[in-house]
Amino acid sequence: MRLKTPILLLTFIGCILTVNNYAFAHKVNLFCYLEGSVLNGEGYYRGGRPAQKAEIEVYSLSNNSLIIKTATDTEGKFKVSLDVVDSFKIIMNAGQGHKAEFIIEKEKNVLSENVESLTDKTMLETELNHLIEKKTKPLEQRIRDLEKQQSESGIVPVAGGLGLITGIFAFIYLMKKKHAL
Amino acid sequence: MPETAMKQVSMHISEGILSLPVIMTGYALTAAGVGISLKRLKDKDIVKTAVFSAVFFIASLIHVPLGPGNVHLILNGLVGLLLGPAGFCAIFVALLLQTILFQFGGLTSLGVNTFNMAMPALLCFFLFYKLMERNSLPLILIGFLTGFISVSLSAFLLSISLILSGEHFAASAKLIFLAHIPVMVIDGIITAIVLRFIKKVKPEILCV
Repeated sequence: MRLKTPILLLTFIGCILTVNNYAFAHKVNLFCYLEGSVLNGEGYYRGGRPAQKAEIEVYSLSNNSLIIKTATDTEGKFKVSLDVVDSFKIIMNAGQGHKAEFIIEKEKNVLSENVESLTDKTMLETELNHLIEKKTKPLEQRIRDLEKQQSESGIVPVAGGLGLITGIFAFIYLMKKKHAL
Repeated sequence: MPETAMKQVSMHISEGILSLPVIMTGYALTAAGVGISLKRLKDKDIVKTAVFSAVFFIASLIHVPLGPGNVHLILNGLVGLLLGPAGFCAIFVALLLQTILFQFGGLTSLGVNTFNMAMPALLCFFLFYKLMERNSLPLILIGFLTGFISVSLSAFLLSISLILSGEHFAASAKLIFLAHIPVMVIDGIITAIVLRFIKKVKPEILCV
């Protein structure tokens, strides 16, 4: 009986670690990109499992109006043709409170006004570098986000797993005590 | 499957690979093993069992780059040798959590996966525990043989489970067994080192 208090404490710690883990376990992610006027996207849970048949809503960011509604396929992907040129907010609802958002900014004219008169090699190079930087910025941000997610996902389930092991064996101990009585 | 097997050698059989009779047999054997293990589990051994369940849970997450692919530690022999029959329960809990949290293997193949890991562990206990207790063999050798044999038998059982599920898995089964040869050696070395370390710092853990 002396062991009962520490065992209960361990169960409590185990439960906390587990709840913390489950909060992340079903996190849903959304990634979208424009290919001309076609919007492509993919929804997936942590671990890479596709978010199947999830509801997709595309909103215009300028007037917050709903442009189109669709759903992901069995691979978690979707593709819609958009007539308007604007900044978009895409919301994915995978059910049971699993929601994700993705914003696509309207492409701005990134070249300088005097682009037509660009004859100087250095100026042209600067403008091109500027253009490439603008185009690759969202991708860089995405890679950083994914790296962050990956590093987080390594620790959280491990801590959750260890918490669960503690909880399960504490439970076995308590059950065995009951059998003994 | 062969290409994947080469890239990442894993002892976990995924969902949708095994046939229904193999799945059911795996669950029946595992249920019997876990039941007996729980019945024989003494209160004083629960913490030790939980600790080694955690060791087994973590060991599979440590990937070692090897050639074109990478392998992970298994350490089922170590768990079996130091826990005896309680190892069945420890391995089941660890595999269940690996399935739920990391999608290693699958819930349908959990029974087969547990049996494939726990049975060789138990066999190593019966083979080497008495030898270790009586100091009949050097501890380093016992450790190496425990690690080597347990992984060999697990790889063998895994191959058999695949072949029983369909003849078309024969090539993959053979490849998986061969790909585990380095794991057998690595597990043997790690088990030997861990046993030696335990004997130095806390020899009472070696007694079941």
